[in-house]
Amino acid sequence: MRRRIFVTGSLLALAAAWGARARAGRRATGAPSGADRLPDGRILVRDAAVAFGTTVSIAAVGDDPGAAAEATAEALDRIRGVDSLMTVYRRDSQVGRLNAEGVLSRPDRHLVRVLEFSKRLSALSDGAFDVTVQPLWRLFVACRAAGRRPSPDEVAAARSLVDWTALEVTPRRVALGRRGMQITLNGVAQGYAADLAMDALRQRGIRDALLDAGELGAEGERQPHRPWTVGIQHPRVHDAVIATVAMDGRFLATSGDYATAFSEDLADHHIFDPRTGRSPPGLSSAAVAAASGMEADGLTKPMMVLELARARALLARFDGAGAIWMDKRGRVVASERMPPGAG
Amino acid sequence: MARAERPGRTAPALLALGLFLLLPPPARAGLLTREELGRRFPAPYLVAERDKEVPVWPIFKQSGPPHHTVDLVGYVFESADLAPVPGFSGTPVDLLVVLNVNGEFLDVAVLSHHEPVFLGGVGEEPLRAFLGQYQGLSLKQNITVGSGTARARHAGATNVYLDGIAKATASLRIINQSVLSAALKVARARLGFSGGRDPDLIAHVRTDLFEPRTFPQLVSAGLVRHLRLRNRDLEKAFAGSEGAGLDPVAIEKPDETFCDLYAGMATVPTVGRNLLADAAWKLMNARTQEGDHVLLVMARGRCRIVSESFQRNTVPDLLSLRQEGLPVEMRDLDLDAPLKPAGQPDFDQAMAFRVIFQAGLDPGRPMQLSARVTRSKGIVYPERFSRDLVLDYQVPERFVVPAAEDQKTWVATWRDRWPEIAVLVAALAFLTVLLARQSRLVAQARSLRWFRPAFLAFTLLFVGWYAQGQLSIVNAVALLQASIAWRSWAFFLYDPMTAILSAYTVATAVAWGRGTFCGWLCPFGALQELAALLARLARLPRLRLSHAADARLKWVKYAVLLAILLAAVVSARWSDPLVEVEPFKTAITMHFRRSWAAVAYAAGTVLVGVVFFKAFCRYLCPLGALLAVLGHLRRWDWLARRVECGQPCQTCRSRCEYQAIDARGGIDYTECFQCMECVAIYNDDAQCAPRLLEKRGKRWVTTGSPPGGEDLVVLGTKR
Repeated sequence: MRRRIFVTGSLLALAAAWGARARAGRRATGAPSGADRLPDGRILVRDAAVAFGTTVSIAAVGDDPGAAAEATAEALDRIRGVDSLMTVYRRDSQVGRLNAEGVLSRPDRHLVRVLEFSKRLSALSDGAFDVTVQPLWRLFVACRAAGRRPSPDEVAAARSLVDWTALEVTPRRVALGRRGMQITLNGVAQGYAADLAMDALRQRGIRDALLDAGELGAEGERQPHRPWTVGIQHPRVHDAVIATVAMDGRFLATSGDYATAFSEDLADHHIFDPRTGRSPPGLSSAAVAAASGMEADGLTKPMMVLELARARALLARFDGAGAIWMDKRGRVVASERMPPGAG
Repeated sequence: MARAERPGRTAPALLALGLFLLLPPPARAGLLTREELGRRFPAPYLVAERDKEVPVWPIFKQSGPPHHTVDLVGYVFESADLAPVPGFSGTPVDLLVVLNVNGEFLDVAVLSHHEPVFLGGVGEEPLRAFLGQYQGLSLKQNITVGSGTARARHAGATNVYLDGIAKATASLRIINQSVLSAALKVARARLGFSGGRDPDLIAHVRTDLFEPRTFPQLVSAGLVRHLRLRNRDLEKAFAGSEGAGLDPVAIEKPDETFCDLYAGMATVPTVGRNLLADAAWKLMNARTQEGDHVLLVMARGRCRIVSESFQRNTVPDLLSLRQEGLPVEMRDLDLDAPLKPAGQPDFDQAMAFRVIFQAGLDPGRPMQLSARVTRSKGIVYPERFSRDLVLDYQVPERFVVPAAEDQKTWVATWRDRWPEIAVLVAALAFLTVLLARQSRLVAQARSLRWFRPAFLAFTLLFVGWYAQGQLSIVNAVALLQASIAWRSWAFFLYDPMTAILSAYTVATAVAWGRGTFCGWLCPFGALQELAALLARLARLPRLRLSHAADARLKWVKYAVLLAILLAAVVSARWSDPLVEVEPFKTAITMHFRRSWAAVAYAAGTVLVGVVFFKAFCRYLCPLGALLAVLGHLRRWDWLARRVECGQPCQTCRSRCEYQAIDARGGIDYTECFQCMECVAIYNDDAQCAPRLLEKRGKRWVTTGSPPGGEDLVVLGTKR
């Protein structure tokens, strides 16, 4: 998995930690190996886990190393919990069972929340966002394994199963309206997990924290004197960023054609336009900052798919959401609510 | 389902008992904690919490400015958690292994070992040096503990030879096996080396399926694969390299065969028993454990399976096996003259190689066997050029039990088997109505005479042999074990026949007693009863135990049940051999196609059941005992009786073949099989003595009071 955002710039807290390397009573407290004492006496704890097929890491600053370590562990636990509930790669996850059997009774409340949000986003975006695109994903994966591109007929057949209105979501039951329909939450679950993780940190008194999941970042309360900035990966140039974003308490998510491509020319990749069954032809990358992780994560997909005017209109429906786009020719456009430092 | 989970346990009880005593102890919990690993891998490394499914710890590396990133380096694990290969001391060597995300070893270190040679002998320092050699090697290479000559001849990018330690070779091989098997599992489970499938779900060889086959038939069935290479083909393989043209024979006779290479999985009975000499087959089974694979490789012509300098019992020097791009270690099983003396082509070489079960080879997926052909140039310091001949092998589908992943979800299973389910449900509904309205069924004694054998035939043929719906104590044990381990009962749903029959049986046992199942729905019970019926038609004698002996023997089945349940609570390894007391698997599930001892036991049970009517059901059957216990919940006596029953009339009691009617005329529902014989008598004017007399306006007179349990009632009439 290629990384799509970097924690860069004046990340003073972390830089200081790297310089000082003063380890705070780790042995006594049983904190994990990533605990360091900051110049102001507080403790920086780092922890990481593998979830959503990528590395999710958390840096948290607190007064007590043991409590901070517990908070990060709890946050990572919640992330892993969402992953094992919503992954499409395992048949025994709730999503795996729904896809196999077409119906799921007594769905987990987290799953219901994510599905309800997904349907709302589908409605607001006129179907430019759709969790039922999984048949397209399966088709393209199978064709890649066979070393070919899918035919227009095959795409049309898979596309006929894509229909968010046929997805029934109630707290008691989730059902797919048509045989062969399948969903994927790869476009929102990670953002939702980030929301839960940041909640867990806040509940345990951690105000100063940074979550990094490779394509999604989040920060706790803004520290005016110490802005944490995040760089958005350039879709074509390794180790270059198209913009740096000063995190202001919002969540930042990115999508790009380079991350999981089905063709060498990056024309076919993991973002599908549900209306055509193909990947959007114009853009190479989109990043969204929004009030929640689920909004930021979910919005990147319609940002990739919709034409600019409609994308801006959709953004306006979400408080404090901003986006930055880069097209395949390298031109960058930012919306007005992208944080300072963008573009 | 529970039956399906234990494919090919063909050994009868005693043999199984003997075997499991020889098995290594179960894997013990690992030694390390996250804190300990944190100390071993300080910053910038970061050891994460242990994975919940695979016993590995992800290890990350934090990078400093300008980009602050945390990236996955690889996984840390203990070999004993994943591949506890017993060492010379009997205890597995436990190694700490660090594997990076590309499948390369970052580090291997000893955590604990009891290998005598390193404890006293040469000491631990050489062992540390040996393990240091793994650093930087890749799982994609063939890693072998090498002797000097093999190393000199075959070392290269794909073949790596580790320096051995004198006097410790055997222990080092075990250590190498542990490292590689554990790392392979991690690579498959967490590094995507298994193409996204669940690596624990591998197919198993069907050890219960044997078909006599000749060698050509085995080849055409794909059980033995053949690779024929002409001199021309080999020359072509070397073409363009310095190895071309070095073999004069190949150039002179391009169309002659250079080599015929054959390979077959000898652990598939149809391959092994048809090809291996009897002694070799026995030896192979003695030297392998359940789940191991043995690959039989045969060659004819100018190629070789192993070189002249090959030492028996080691990893072959010219052959290698791969699956999904990863090498799988094989080791010579050291079978002398493994093949049957006649019946197959004359081979120049034939050898059997063992792959331990810990390696996770999937017989149901393609594997590649490479044989190395080397040509040399020059005499004093010859230059060597090699090519690999690759033979693709895969056990045909029919001979393996597919990985559970390939099995469908239970909904789909039910959908697929709907005709069988419909027939079964209809039959159960029919049976329920009949039993509920018994008088209808028995209105004419004649209708019961044909109906009961007909239903039993249905139970035996359809429920038992065709739909494989024999309920067994194994089902109960599996449920018990699943409950203890807090696992879901969902596995039960994957076998609709068992699920439906179990639900019906539990419901009827509580409502009516065990008899509904035991007397009508148990295929093995039906088999015994039909056999007894035939014996009666042939006028063979039937014996009846005295009531006293019968009463005592009836308790044996409860003891059997208790033993099985206790064993099940302790471990599956204890209960597995005990449940072999049931001949169901042999007689019904496997259609009597099992080892001779199991078949003899099952056939013996049927024969005994002919002489002493259904003796197994009444005295030994643990499932019957369990249902009898459940039957104690029964709240009403639903089989009709009269006041005269028992006092004074003893007709039913003496006619009851199950000896389930006591001297006072009461029915012992824990022993009653609901055969309806007494109900038929009850309803029949010609058979029921009180009824007969009533009709003639007469009544009973007893000439002596019946002391409990004696058949001494005298029937008389009063004028």
